[in-house]
Amino acid sequence: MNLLVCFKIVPDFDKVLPSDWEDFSLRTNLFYTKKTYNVFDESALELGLSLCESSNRRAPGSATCTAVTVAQELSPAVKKHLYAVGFDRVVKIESIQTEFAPRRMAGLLREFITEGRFDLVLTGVQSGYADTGLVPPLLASMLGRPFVSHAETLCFYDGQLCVVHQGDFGRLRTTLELPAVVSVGNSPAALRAATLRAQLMAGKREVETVFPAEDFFWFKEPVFFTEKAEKDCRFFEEKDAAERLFAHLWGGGSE
Amino acid sequence: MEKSALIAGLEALLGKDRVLTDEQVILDCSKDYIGFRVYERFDGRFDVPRAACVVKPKNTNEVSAALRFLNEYKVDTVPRTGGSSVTLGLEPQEGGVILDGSDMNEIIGLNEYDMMVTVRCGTPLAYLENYLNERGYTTGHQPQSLPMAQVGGLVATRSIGQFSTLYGGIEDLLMGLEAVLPCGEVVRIKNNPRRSVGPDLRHLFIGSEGMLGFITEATLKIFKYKPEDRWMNAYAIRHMKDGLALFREIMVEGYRPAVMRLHDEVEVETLFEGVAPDEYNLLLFVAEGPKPVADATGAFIDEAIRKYDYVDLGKKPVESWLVTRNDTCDDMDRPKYYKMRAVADTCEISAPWSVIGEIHSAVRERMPEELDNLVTVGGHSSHSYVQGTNIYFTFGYFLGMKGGEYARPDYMHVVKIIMEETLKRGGSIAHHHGSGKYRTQWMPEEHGSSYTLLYKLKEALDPNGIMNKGVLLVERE
Ligand SMILES: Cc1cc2nc3c(=O)[nH]c(=O)nc-3n(C[C@H](O)[C@H](O)[C@H](O)COP(=O)(O)OP(=O)(O)OC[C@H]3O[C@@H](n4cnc5c(N)ncnc54)[C@H](O)[C@@H]3O)c2cc1C
Repeated sequence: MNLLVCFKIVPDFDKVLPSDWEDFSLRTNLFYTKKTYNVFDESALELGLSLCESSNRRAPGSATCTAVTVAQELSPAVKKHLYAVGFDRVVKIESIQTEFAPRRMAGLLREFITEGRFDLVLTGVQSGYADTGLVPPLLASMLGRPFVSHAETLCFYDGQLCVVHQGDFGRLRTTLELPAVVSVGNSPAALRAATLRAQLMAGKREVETVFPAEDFFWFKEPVFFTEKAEKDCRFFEEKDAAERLFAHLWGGGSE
Repeated sequence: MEKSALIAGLEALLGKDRVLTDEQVILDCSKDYIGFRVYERFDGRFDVPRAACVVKPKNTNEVSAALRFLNEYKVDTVPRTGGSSVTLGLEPQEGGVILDGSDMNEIIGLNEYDMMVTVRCGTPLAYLENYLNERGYTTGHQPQSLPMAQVGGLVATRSIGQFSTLYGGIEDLLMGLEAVLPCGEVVRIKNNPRRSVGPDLRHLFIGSEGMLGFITEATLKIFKYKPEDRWMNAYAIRHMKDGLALFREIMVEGYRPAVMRLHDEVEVETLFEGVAPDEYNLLLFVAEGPKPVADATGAFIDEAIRKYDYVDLGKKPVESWLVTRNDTCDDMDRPKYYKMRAVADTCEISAPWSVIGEIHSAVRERMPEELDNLVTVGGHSSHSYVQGTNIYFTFGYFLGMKGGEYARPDYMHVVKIIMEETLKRGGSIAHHHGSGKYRTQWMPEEHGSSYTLLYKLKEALDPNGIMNKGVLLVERE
């Protein structure tokens, strides 16, 4: 089995200054924030790695695990970490404009997936930054593969992929034949830490860079605006709180 | 003493509602945030001795009554306030009592003319700081545990804040205090700018970690709070040794930025990935006080850095750090590292300028040689003095392949390396978290011939040895 996990490095939003949120655009320079794995992708990376490991335990050499990102740059620290935790390949599909272009992202990934003959493709359900949540379903439809979203855990059972995922009415268990695309949602999996020794060995390995054949497209930057809805907070205490609240909400109360 | 008689005796003195025997309350109050305990808790282990009860006095008289009783019956007692200890300092003795001052939370008086504020021991620092900020003042004490810690614990641990290079540690900020001795006697040390009347008795309690008495009240200095007049800037600097040399120059030339942080390139990768160029260290500065003073401090720093290989990163990294610097407190009860099957923590030491860089390098070299599951070891300097600075080591190790029972042995291995490399070069093994119960074994070497004074103090003030057994002093037969 050739397994592929798609991931994206995003700014740590907790570190974004309130002033930058107020005036946000794609040109807002967030250089000062820590860069980190998109949270859903991080779970997908761990689930992919664990799945590969369990396959290889059962039949040594039967599974490979590749991590791919579409980006302009990939930091040495991320590359080192991914190799050190056990990914066989770390690939960067070089591209400049990656935000708000889901069709193009899916197109670039499809090309790579088709050429690399990946049986199982994992993605995060969406990116926290400039997210549309459209890449995984678009990718599945372009590949013409079955698709399950919001996965929490994955395992192989009787030669089939067994996915526990969040549905509209609770948790579901779905079995799939490969090839397939699965997007990972609120999974408890967190990408494991890599030991310094493994990082040292991994430091020597390079990221594979793929240059897409044709990467021209027309991009219109979306316009952001902040909804400035007034919020009001009042406390209604004492015995007649309910009546006073009622009067305030519906009776034009002045409290 | 029988548990039932102990509880009945305390209830008779303080009332039933002040003596808590609920299992979960006792466990919560015994909780310490040292890295391996955090891991063990998520791993379902909790091998902490069980106290018989938690006693929550309302005032000094109740503390006094409780201690008199506990002393008479020789019951092991651990003082507690905010519960943010990271040194096992809070863990009780089996069958002992946790004396929790967190209900004694009141600002007793703000003296704006003499620039001081008096509070009871359980006053949360965050509450006090907000109260003062609203009135244009600050304590100048900003530990990262600001949202968790309370004044009694801050004094008892000899704590320090992130703005210490200007304001100093708690020892520079404490004017006077009230404490209750283990025998129940109440002692007060008055508030004066300086005195020449014998040894400074405040120091019996500052850093005593609850082993000499219970601090019930403290008076802290206050300062004008003018964040709008701050100068701040961040830089990336290629070599750690250059960053340390820059810090030394700033201090020796007489400048006092409030915040002066130098994160090594490992911490840049773990805490600030992408903020500084690859392989660079990160410098964060805040200067405050009167605007001309803050600006002059900034101008000196901006000039002094030019002789090194550096990059000016502007003020946004500092602004962002200021807003988010204490967020880690929200994660303390979340399985962030446990989910990665790792233990992560910090350990701080200090030393003169001449050896601090060597200690930093020696620890970073030795640790990966001895721990094959080490994930990271880095460090930062964040509290500087004319004579030297601290290094706050940050480390993590992976337990995936070893199992949770190694959380503690591996932790102590890491600490051993830091302690030994520091002591070897004449540094001090604890800059601000204190000894707790995990660094005690290195205290004889830390103190040398003066260690005997600590035993003598203990014998004089706590002859029955009831107060916080295991901190600072190695138990003697
Ligand atoms: C996320 C995090 C960040 C931290 N950052 C810093 C930092 O920047 N600077 C720093 O100095 N420390 C820091 N600490 C450590 C800790 O917050 C300090 O040691 C703090 O001073 C403890 O205060 P507390 O009220 O929580 O005390 P507790 O945890 O309740 O007690 C700490 C010790 O003091 C004793 N004690 C408590 N109250 C009394 C009392 N009334 N009388 C006598 N003894 C008493 C206890 O027995 C114990 O030994 C940090 C801890 C955490 C978890």
